[in-house]
Amino acid sequence: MTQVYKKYLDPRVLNRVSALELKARQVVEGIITGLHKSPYHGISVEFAEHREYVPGDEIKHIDWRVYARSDRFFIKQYEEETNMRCYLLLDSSESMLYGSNKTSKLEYSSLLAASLSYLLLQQRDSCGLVTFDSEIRNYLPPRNNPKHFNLILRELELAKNGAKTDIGKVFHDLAERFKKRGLVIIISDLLCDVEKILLGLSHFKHKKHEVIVFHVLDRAELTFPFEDMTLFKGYEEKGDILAEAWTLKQGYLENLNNFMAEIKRNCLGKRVDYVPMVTDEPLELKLSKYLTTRIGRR
Amino acid sequence: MFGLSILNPFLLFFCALASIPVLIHMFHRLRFKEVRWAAMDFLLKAQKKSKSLLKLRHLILLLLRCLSIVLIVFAVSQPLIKAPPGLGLAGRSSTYCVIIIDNSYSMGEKQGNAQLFDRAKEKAADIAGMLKTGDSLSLVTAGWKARAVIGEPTYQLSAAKQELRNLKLGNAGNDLGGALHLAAELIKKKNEVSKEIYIITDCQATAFRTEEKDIKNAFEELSGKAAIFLVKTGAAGSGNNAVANVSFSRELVDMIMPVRITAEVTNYGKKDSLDCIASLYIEDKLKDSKRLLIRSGKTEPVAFYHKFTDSGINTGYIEISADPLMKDNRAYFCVNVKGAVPVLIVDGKPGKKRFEGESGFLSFVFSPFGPEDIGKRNVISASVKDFRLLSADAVNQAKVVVLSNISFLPEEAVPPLDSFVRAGNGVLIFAGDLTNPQYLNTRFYREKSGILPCVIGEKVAPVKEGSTFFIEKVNTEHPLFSKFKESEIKELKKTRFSGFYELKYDAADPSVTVLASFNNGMPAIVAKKCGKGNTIIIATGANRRWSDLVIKPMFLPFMYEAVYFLSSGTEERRNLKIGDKISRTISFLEAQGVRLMTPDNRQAVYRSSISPEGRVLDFDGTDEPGFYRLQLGEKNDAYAVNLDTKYESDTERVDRALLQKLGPKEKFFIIEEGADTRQLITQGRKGIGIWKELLLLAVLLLALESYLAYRFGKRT
Repeated sequence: MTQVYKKYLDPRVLNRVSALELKARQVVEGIITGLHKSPYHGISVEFAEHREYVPGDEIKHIDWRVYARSDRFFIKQYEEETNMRCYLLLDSSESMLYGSNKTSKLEYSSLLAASLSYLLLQQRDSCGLVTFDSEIRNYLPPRNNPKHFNLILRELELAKNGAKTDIGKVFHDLAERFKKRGLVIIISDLLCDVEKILLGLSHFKHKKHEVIVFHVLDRAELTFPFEDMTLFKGYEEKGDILAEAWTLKQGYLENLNNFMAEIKRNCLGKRVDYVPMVTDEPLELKLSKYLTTRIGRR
Repeated sequence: MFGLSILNPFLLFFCALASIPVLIHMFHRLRFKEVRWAAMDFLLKAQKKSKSLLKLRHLILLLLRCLSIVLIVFAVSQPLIKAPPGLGLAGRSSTYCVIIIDNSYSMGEKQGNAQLFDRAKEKAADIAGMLKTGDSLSLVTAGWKARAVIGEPTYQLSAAKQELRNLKLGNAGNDLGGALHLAAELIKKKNEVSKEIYIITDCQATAFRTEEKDIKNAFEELSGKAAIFLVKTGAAGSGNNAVANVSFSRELVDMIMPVRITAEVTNYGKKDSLDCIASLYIEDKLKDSKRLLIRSGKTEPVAFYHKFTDSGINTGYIEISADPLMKDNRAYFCVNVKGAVPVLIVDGKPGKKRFEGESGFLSFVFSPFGPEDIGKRNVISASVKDFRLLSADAVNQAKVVVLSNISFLPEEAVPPLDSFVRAGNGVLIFAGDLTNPQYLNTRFYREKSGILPCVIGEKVAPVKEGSTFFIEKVNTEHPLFSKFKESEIKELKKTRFSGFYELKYDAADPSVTVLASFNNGMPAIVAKKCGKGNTIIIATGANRRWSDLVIKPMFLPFMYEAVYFLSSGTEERRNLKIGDKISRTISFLEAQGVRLMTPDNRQAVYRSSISPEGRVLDFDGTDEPGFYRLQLGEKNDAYAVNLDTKYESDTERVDRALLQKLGPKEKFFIIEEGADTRQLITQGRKGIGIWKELLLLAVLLLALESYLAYRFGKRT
């Protein structure tokens, strides 16, 4: 287990992000008091507003002082802060195994997931993990128990199924499965049908979840540094191409950029955070930058 | 339709090399690196989009590469385009071939061990050997004058080859234009599908330049009607010296005074000739030799002084040292050496003492040392006759008659005197006190039909008493004065004349020439060409009463030159050029046993006709340089025939540019010396070689391939 810790908890990352916090920008439903706005108005220290009494309200919540002044019953409402349910959705499809350098996209993504879950658990939020490819491979429900982190790490270690990606199907399935709204963090290379991805994201949004998409790509996928005759053997049974690589470069980059632009545009439209990640970039820098930016936006 | 033939078809096997680009392409495709790739959708989409374009580009490049190789192989295998049958380059169905062989004497140049003409004959034989059964052949020589040796096309090629072997080198210049016209006439008559003309020549530059227009016209006449092969024989000339134009310092050559024999030696080479030796041979015996330095392109005279010892016809030649072209190394000459020239002085006022009569000074001039001197130190044998006693016989025994101060002549002597001049002899007239102009004008001028050059007018005296006339103008171009030095002419001009007869000549008469004029513009000496002979009249008398001419030192040479000039009309024109006609009138007595022998000692066949003067022998076959000897019974005569070196001795070769300019634009093939004549003719026959064009096309395709490869491979 120590080795797993070492593998997924990079001290540099933890050092960098431990001072930060990941807060839900919209209200989330939690079970314990936390950092995030709750949809429930209950007993709390934070006064929210007065509301006219309606039958059924608990009498204990009537503000007697207002009654004394106005001879009308008003209920005193407080804004509740709760902990957040965060769902880490990690793409463990075969395409995530690609890595032009030492780190594959899956490894990088696992590191990211581990770091985030550590951060969330640290701030006493519930954190769950879903690994998926064409279907949900594993589902670890959100817990705020620190011991839950061990389970998450174990799941990350096991997340190497290597099958086709079907994000649409998985996202629809999960959107229905997540009963309470929370923060859905998607870590994937998104290499599947863009329409299905966007429908899936819409579904999450429809269910009032806040969604963050970490789009993890390899540097080689962004630059296509190939020139000579190359046999490209596709992951996820997508076939092979034997060609002089330079002849494909322009078209490939155009297609990739179009795809990324479309994802980004749609994410923006749906108020989904879209964070492109490249595996050769230091995770701590990229993550801290994002978290800092996010804090600034609150 | 245009056909295609290939000279080296076996090389076409190398077309298999065209598969190299394909193999390289395939090999290239086998050498790839393998990459596992996640974002395959984008790649597949990119590939789908560019696949057809890339395939097309690859195909284009591959085709260009393969085509370039095929073109190079094709070019190396030497393909030829065959012209349609109508254009005369068709296959070997039936060919009519005219071989024009240059036999001008420049072809006698020796290069290596053989004469160019022998090599030309070999080439002609080789060409004839390439003909097949059913082909026909004509043979034309291009030496002056072009001649069809085999005019009627012969199918017996072996007989034609024999005729070729018998061809002899000519001694004249080039007549290529004539030969081409002749060939054009010959091919007009033939209906063969394929017609070919072969011109085998040394391409001597002067021949082409001087005949440029004629050759061009002939080529235009032949254009499109036959394939023309110009086969160059011999490399550029290595230099040549030629000797020509032998001349004598005097009209009259005698046995008393040495005569200067001059010839012109020209160096036609590009280097100076430092060790050319010229030798004089008389009657085949070496008399003298001289070493010459002749600059490149220059002509230098070489002079020998020789005193002839035998009277009559003497033959000789000047020979220069050996060079590659031997034909023009000898210049032949014939000279009639005089033993004595009989001069008859007819005195119009004979005196009893020396210098008393009109003939006194003249007799003294012609024989200053007395009668015993004649034939020893003086060639002129002068005799004096009283004008009243002049007879026809006396006239006919002389070569020159001097009429001095004549008032009239016996009637029986007048017609013979006329005939005497017309036969080639001369009359010199001195006017004098007794001169009767009316008589002389009536009897000898006869309205320009007589021997008198002009009408004799009145006496002209000086305006002032005591003043004199003098000679102002002298025609130094006339043979009479041409040999005089300037000092002698000055001396003549200093002569004082106390009076003279006006000489009225017809300026429009081309036979009349004024040789000297007085200071008042009136003629002093007038000459007339009359038949073969000449008459000269001097407007003043031959004594001191009229002028001091007779006591001037130059009077003696003047009189001698006058006698030489007047006696030269009887001399035959014995120095001829190749092709000149020998024409000789002989008396009927001489006509018995006449034989004309050629330089190679063959008896020549001449034409004979009769004229009032006697029998006329005509011979126009002077085609060999050397001596043509005429045997007239016991008398012998000779004619020297020389080459005309003006054009043919210059061995400079015409450049290819001029040949191409003159030749037809199509079907004109120039085969250089040293080239494989047989192969090039085969190429010409089979078609037009296109390998250069193919190679150029291959290079262009390769350049295009490189450009396209760069464009297609431009990595963004």
